[in-house]
Amino acid sequence: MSKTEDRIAAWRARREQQNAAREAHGDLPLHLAVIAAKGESLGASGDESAEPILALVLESLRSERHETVGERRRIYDAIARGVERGVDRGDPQSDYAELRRRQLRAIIRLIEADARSRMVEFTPDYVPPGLAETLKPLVKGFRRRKKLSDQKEVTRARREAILADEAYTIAVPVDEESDLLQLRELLAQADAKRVARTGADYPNWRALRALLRYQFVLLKSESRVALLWTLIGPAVLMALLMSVYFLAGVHSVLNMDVPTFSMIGTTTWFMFRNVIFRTTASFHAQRALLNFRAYSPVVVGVTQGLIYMAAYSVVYVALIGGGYLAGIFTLPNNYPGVIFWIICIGFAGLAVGVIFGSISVVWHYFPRFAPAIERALQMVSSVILVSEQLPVEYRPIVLWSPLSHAEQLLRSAYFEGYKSEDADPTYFFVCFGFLVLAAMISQRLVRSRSLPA
Amino acid sequence: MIDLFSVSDECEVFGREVVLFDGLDFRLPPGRYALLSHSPEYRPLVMDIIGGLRPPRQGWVEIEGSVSWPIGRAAMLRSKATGIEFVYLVADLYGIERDYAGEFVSSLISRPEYLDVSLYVWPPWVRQEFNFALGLVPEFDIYLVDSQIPSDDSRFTRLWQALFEQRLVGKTLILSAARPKQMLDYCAKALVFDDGQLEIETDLEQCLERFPIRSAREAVGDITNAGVESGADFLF
Repeated sequence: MSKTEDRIAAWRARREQQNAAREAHGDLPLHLAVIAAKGESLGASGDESAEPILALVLESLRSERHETVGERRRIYDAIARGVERGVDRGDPQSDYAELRRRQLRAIIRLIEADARSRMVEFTPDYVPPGLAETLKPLVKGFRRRKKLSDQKEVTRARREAILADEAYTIAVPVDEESDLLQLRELLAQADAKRVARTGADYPNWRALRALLRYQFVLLKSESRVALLWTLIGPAVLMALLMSVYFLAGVHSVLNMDVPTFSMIGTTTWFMFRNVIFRTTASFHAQRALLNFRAYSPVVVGVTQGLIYMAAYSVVYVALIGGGYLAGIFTLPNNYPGVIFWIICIGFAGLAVGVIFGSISVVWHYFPRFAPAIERALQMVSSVILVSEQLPVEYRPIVLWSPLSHAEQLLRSAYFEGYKSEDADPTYFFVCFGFLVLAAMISQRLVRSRSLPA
Repeated sequence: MIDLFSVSDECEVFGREVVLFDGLDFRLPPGRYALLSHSPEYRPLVMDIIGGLRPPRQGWVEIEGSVSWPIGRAAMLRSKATGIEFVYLVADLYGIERDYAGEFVSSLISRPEYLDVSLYVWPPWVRQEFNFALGLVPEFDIYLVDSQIPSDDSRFTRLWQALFEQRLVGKTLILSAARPKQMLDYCAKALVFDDGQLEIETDLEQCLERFPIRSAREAVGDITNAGVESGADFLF
């Protein structure tokens, strides 16, 4: 393109600009209308930088007479008018419009203060003193206001979605979209393969099975010493009991060998007391599980007790098996009978545990008395001796306790040579029935007082 | 739908026996509710009753559909179990395949390596993420949320919010949070507990002004400072 053509193109552009300026700002002299027209783009650019504003102000000051305050004021007014017209095209109340107005006012104030204090040459690289410090908080404030207004917009959109019961789309960065898709897919698969829901969300058997598995895992996570103590505890008491008999020169009690007699009594009692204590403790210790609708304190307590019964079944096998191989113990005479009575004693422990746990809900101090009660019961429950060893007039001291009946019936099943004359299964089961009834009533009475943790 | 029939209940709150409900009959239709009360310490107790987690002393509660546990309740995760074992408990309880549940939670939370560690030693923020992530695994008809919903600028929050929005469509939500903004973001109506009564208010914003959200600490502070202004001489 030749120089002439360039000049013609520039002239045409200038002429179009002047025509547009005249049309938009016809009440201003042409030179000020052109300045105002240039200012329009500043209010609509979306740019946060104040440099274009400063450049326009300096360019306008250079191109026009600016010696007096009045002359400079006319230039400033023209630019402000252009900026206003620019922001009017968008939202004049927007945070961006306010930023541009404030930036222009700050630049004008600083230039004017400088121009009045000294002779200033408005060269393109001129920057009024303190400009950066003045503009920085303006941009910061704009960004803060923009963030707030964006949040308001999000809140408004969310409320619309909520009121329409629609999913509001949360914006996620591109690099997280694949994660979101994968998670959605996993949820969809989990929902699709979920066991069909019928009425209740969780059948009782499933809830119980899930809890038993969980309690078993908790038992496994107990310290190794605690697990070992389930074996050592009965062994220590058994050794004490055996030593008392041996010191008295007794090696057989009513046709029962002392080591096995002691082992079966003490291990069963340890199981009984542990079932009680664990069931009682879980009323408080596992209140977190009450946040699941499927679980009540009694369910949690009973599963805890069942887990300990299961743990003691291992203890029995280990002690009887190991002791038999070592030549210390004899094997049971009637296996089903032994298992039956051990289970009965365990269930009695569960019922007592539920009663104690229920009392502890209303009287938090009660569990402190539980060991004392348990020791007292131990003395009258045929752990150390059976009723037939006592004179007839003293037998009622132990025979009021249903546990002494169960212990003696257990030993009757275990030993071939011993058949208890005093133990009465009917008495035990009647008492056991009352115990279960008392447990059910007591837990029902305090159920509403058991708060989820 | 949740129905309360002649519900009366008393509870011990910070050592005081308080009457929560007295013969209340109330029906809560499906919807998204912000649980509001002048006394924030009552909100979990009310949530327990209407969510069927605790039976009232008298009367009964009927709930149509499945109810979540109070998602976000911190005490839920006081356990010696590891995170993955807790995931399995939830999966077993709600009939979900363990593998899907485990993979979902480990893919969502920021620190999946903690899943094999006992919950006792988890940092509180990981535990909270886990708590909320787990709440997405089973699909419920009624969601109870008893905590502030995650709102920080993180991958977990963005993904969790996106998935929770999806889960909530057509479901009921009862939210007890300490941030009014979250109430507005997630709830359409207010479920107001005041003076032993439950009421549904449609104008949530106005309700939030009437029942400014206070922490339990502030509320208890009011009680323990009673008499200070009047210069009662039993306070030193």
